[in-house]
Amino acid sequence: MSITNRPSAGARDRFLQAAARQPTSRPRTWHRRVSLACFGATAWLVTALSVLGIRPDWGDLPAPAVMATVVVLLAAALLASAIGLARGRSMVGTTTESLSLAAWGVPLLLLLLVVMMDPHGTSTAVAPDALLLHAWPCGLLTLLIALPLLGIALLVLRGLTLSRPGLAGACLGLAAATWAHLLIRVHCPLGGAGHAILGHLLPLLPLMILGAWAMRRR
Amino acid sequence: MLAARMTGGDSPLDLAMARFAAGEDAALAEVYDLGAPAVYTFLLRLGRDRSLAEDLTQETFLRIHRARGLYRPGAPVLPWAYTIARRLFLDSVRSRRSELQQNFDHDSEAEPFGLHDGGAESPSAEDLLADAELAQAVDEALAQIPEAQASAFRLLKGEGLSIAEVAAIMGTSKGSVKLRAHRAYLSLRALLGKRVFGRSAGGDPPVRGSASGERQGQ
Repeated sequence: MSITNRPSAGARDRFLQAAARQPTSRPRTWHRRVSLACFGATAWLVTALSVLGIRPDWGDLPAPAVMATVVVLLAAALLASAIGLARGRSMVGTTTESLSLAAWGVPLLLLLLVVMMDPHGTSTAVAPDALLLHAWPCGLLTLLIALPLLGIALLVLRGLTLSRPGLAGACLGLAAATWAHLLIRVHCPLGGAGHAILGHLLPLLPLMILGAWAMRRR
Repeated sequence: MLAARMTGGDSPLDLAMARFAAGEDAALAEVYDLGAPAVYTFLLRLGRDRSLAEDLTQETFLRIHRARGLYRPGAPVLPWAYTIARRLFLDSVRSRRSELQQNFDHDSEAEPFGLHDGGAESPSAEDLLADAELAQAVDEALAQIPEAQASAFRLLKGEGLSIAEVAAIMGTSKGSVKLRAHRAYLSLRALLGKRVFGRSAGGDPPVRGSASGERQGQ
């Protein structure tokens, strides 16, 4: 036998009056938000790529390595986006296991990718002593491209109470960073795992922290 | 009863929420009527403060009201409501820690659950009294152990939720829920001693809410 108490009748009336005064989201808001977010993110990525341009040695790169890089980055970005943006079975976000797996697994996968797969064309590898010098513009670009994407993702989840907001935010930061990483890979002609790690991959850390912080603060 | 309402997404509460999300404004009162008693009871057991429980129940359902357009038809509403309620409770504890401490002291004089509002379905006054005394003893003991352990125990044993549902509500893994509930059980056993566990040492704790153990294997 479960003992259940009830709020008072006055509390019910107060709730209904407060609800009548407060704005509520319209039916199918979620679908509109997701559609708008997809459209906005795609528009932003296309605009950024058209401004930055494709690397000049794109045609000289070995096709299998390019294909593998693009496919893995695309899959990682889609996975992190889907897990971070999921409402979950019970409207409180996806499971902790999935979020943790994405937050740890995707960065490791990307690290493996940049270490093992480094498509070289006629591009020059960066000398070790100039690594930082060449990495920071790429890092800054990655951040600049990813920040609006993170903002869009946070807007999609506005109004939802998640059981793990920090982890979900970290996943969203990771997703934004991975989309930006994909774009920078297409744009940046510099080769070498060191440059890829520092300039393309490392920005995902501040973005994950920022995403987690922003979601916890909502 | 509660456990039956939790699962399918086709319970009266879930159907009412689906109608509300689809644009039927009048269904909001039904959502409140069907969901508020469980949320209120959960909050009352967490905070042992009727006024706080009423306020937080109202805020929980206002959040659901605001997130109407984000609702996924078929999603069970109660785990969502419990997640919001628990988060609101933790926020209120953080902001009113000292005030709450006074409430804990004061509430020891409060009437036991189920006696006040007549919400219990009891076969006899003696059963109700015994159940209420046991509930109060368990409640007092739960107030002395960490909130995470107490919540896991209450949701599993008191509300009859599955481990997966409690994990979703608390934002943790299923293994962690089992561990927290087990630790709570050990703490309760130590705190309550033979008064409660004497007749069933080694077995399931005879805590109120015979839904205990239901669907835990899920």
